[in-house]
Amino acid sequence: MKNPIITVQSLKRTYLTHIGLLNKEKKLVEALKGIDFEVYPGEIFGLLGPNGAGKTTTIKILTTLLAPSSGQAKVFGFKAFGEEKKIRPRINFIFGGERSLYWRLSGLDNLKYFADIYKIPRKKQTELIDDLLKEVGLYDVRKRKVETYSKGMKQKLQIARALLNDPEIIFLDEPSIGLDPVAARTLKNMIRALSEKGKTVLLTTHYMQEAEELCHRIAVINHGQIIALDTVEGLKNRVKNEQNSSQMPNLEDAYIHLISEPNIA
Amino acid sequence: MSTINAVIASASQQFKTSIGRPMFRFCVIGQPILFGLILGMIYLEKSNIDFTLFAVFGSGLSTFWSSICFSSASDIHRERWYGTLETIYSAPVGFKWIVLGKIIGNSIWGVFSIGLSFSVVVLLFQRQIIIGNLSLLLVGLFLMTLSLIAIGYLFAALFTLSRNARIMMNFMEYPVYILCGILFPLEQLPLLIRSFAYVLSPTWAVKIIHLAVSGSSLFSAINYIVGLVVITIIYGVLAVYFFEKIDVKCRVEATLEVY
Repeated sequence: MKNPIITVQSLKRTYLTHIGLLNKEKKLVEALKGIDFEVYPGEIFGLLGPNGAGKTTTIKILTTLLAPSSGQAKVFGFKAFGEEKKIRPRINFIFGGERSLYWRLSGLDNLKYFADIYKIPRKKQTELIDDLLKEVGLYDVRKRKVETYSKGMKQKLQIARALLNDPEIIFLDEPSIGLDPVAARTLKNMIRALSEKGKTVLLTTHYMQEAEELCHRIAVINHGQIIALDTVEGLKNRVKNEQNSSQMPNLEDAYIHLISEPNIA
Repeated sequence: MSTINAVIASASQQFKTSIGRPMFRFCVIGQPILFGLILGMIYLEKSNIDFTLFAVFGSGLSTFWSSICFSSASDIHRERWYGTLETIYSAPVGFKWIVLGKIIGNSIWGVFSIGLSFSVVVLLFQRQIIIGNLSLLLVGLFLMTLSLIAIGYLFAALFTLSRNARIMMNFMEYPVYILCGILFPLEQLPLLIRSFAYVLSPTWAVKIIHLAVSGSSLFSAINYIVGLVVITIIYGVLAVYFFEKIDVKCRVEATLEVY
């Protein structure tokens, strides 16, 4: 058994919010209520859950962008909060949508800029960037401004950006949001190809078919707690048994059943 | 070397993208022309020295200050808006170096705006421009540029934490014109306010430029030069300190991407 590349233990995160204008009342919101999971090298690990379940908070903590309130989040054995400098050069992330790019620059200029801030030596940059642009199919439009790209093209450019530092782990937070079926399929093929190259992928998505096709294991998270963690087949079997059904449910049915169950620990 | 490359890349990226924004274009092109015209008319009847100080350099320095003010605060806010703040924040080269590059990129436009306002005032008003000590003037302008970069850097650090950066930025722009003696002599202000002005480095830079215009020697400006260097170093040290602090604080308080 390989050692886990990501370890999450009793991870909690609370947010302080203020209610009211004059008489401000402080309120603590628990986004994560002590979650545990491990991700192994080369795995495509899915985090599924409804909006506000804690998926993005988990990814933000693991990508060193957010501090945990308590518990542990370790990547490559290093603490995500406190030892982030040892983690950052070895990971990358894509948060869904069309953002995270400079729209007034060309695709090529975006990648050159990010290559510099990822400390990629200038000697390597030209070949690396050309290869990545060819890989994601944007080489011919590399000199066009990003604002002229379609949503799918922007997402492809984000993938090229995320691969610049040859990361061992890639975090994808709803990467296929808003993509048309062709672009979504291209993205799925890219994620699969990354896994075949030995990269670890941690993915959140609302598209069950995507999760079913891609993920080796899935954690279902709801109200800040992990309510199920298994392979796709394992999750389906569990729901089949709980429902005493003769038919195997699809992942969407299984997911809806799981998040509808009250107070599952 | 890779850190220097990243600072240069960040400056170059900022230089290219910022001029694409109408507001920034107004700051570095429209405002120098407008300020040059207005201040030129205000100081038209005054002495050549006053005209040089407040019409020529006043318009240039005020637009430089505006571009620094707008860049330091709104660039961080804009990165939030683009969704790139998290990417540059967690980049291996270090957020503080990327921000430094951005402010240098904007400062290059600031220097351009000084040149533009200078040209506008000189060409339109055809007045004699007095520069008694050119080398002292160049020292003053160079130190002022470094100092404004340091202020921009300090603001950027503080504004990374705050979603109210734009309000702060607007609040900071105009008082500095008045407090630092950019648009009229500092001596016209009450003593109490004048002493506060010396906390702000543009005051010291303006003093050096005034001495340069009036033909004073480098030696006679040494107190102001040392003062400006010291205050610039203080700003720089504070900025680095705040960047270290915000690295923890914005992850604990989850303010990194809050608009």
